[in-house]
Amino acid sequence: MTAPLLDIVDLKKHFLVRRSAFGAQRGWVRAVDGVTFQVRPGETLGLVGESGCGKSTVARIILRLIEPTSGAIRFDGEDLLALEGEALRRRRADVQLIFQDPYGSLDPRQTVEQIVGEPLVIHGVGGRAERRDRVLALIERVGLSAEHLRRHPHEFSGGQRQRIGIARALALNPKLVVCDEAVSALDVSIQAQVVNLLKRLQRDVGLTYLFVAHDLAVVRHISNRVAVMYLGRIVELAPTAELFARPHHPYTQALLSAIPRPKAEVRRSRVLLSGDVPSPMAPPSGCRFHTRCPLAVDRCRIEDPPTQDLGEGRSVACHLVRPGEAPPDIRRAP
Amino acid sequence: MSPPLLEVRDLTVRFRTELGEMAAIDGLSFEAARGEFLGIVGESGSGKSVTARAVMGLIQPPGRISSGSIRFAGEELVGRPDAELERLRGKRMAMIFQEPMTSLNPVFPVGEQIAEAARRHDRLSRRAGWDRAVEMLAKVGIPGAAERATAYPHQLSGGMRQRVMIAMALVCSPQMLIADEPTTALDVTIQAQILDLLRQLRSELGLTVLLITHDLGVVAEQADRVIVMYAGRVVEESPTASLFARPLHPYTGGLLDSIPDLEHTVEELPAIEGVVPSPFALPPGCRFAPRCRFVEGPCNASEPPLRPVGGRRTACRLDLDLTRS
Repeated sequence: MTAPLLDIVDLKKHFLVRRSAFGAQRGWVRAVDGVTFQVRPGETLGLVGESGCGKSTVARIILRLIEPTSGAIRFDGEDLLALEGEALRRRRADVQLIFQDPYGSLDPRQTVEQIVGEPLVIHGVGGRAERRDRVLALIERVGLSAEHLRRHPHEFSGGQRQRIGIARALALNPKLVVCDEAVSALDVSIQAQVVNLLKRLQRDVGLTYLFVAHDLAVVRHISNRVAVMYLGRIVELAPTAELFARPHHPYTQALLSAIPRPKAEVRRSRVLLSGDVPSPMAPPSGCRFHTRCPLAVDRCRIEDPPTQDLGEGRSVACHLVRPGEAPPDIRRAP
Repeated sequence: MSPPLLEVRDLTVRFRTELGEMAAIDGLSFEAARGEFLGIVGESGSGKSVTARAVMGLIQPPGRISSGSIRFAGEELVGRPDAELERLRGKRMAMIFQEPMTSLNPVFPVGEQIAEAARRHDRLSRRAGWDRAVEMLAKVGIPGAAERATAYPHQLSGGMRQRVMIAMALVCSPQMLIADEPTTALDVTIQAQILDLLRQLRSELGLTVLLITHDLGVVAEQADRVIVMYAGRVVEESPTASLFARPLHPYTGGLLDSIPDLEHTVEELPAIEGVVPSPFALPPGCRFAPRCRFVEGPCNASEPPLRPVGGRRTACRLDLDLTRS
């Protein structure tokens, strides 16, 4: 098997916060609390979970926008967290980000040509004419054309702005592109266009994606493997088809069951999770999901479940999952 | 048959902007029966939220209702003075929004805000208003309602805040609830709880519900009937089951196709190419024609009317078979 492009081991990020706007009480938000996964070259790994699960924090750490509390990240065989100065700057070209909000991430005063060409200028790639050609090629690659080069972000629709953001992310031929809710703000008809574009680019250029999103249908469509996060941990990771066909972790099952489906079929019996996601400042003892898990037993309240490798690329952190046995089923909860 | 509770006829709402005046909704007609759960679906710019605000009498300058009629329980609402509409809101119809935080006052306990609404509309005493608020909070599934009533909005989660908004909307027993993207800001497991609550309250209280959303999945499981809007017009209206089994309008079909499926895998999503037309540069014919893969010459000549087809309505000239497997 090929070496992973990105190799993350026991990553943690704890933020120090005040408990309230006026109170002096302080506490730690354990946003990411022991996350381990790998991304292989050429694949798309989907990272899903609800708000506060830590998925965006993981993305920001990989981009070295924030520093982790502990853990290791190897990128392309190199210790990413040890890089500093010029070495880090050079490495940054290899890891690019596509944001959720294409409007907030594009400078309104710049033209499309300046926006897409900026990374080339910063990294001193080519001369003026060469950069021009490269920008035009990028713009055409994402489905825009030469006539758009002189325009400003506000002259574009949301979908087109996201295309501009994608062109900019690709300017330096990155090895890994982190998509952080990259299509979440788009209308469905436009979302489909951008998802198709991302897939096409991956095929043509051989990109690797870490696709961070909350929309499971989109994640299923674009990902080879999917990692499900809950309160700072990965609770299940599996190849996409297997994860959706046979979710093992009760949280994965609940998440899939909660998605409203645009279909005429009779309403399915839905398993509703009760309550809210607990605060990451005070994650529950034992398994973090036990407060909402309809199958929780005493052991779940006390003992933190380790991540078990079930083979065939699937790993799950649940006491009720046993190798060789049928997975637990929240629809059969008492 | 009893007359519909809500009857909207040829409604046009215009907004004055820097670029000139434009119609956010243009000749809109639909109705909702008593006790019906009606879904209104559309993407950005479809006019779905303006429709909700118009029905609530909340269109403010630079917007105005330039023509048409909104009848509620047989009474005309267009042209009524604000004071009368104010009385109608809350007591006869109420609305909840995507972000409850913007509709809740951050400096008062949530119970106080609900009690205030009850006192204003039902002339209840201080004590009775508070009791009513606690009762409503319990009804919308807030555990420990008496205690939670004293909490401030920021102390509650997004899902709890939306429950508080629903309690406030329903405290004066309105006949109709308009929910504008009520679950869009919520996580999917919390969304499921809120949708479940709406469904339960609707049958328990015999409410008429107008659910406005961009999410076809949400209406599929909730609504009796669905109206699909595009660029300020209704393009299709249909009972929910038949809409999803066999859409009549190519836009509805295209929307359904562009949502990735949870069971079946395709390499490429059948996206709708192009973008929604600007309200300042609408095509001369069908507004969807520039993006439609079935487009024919006459589609570009004149705007097709909303025509009846077997108990449904479509604004497409063509008889297409868009049956979904």
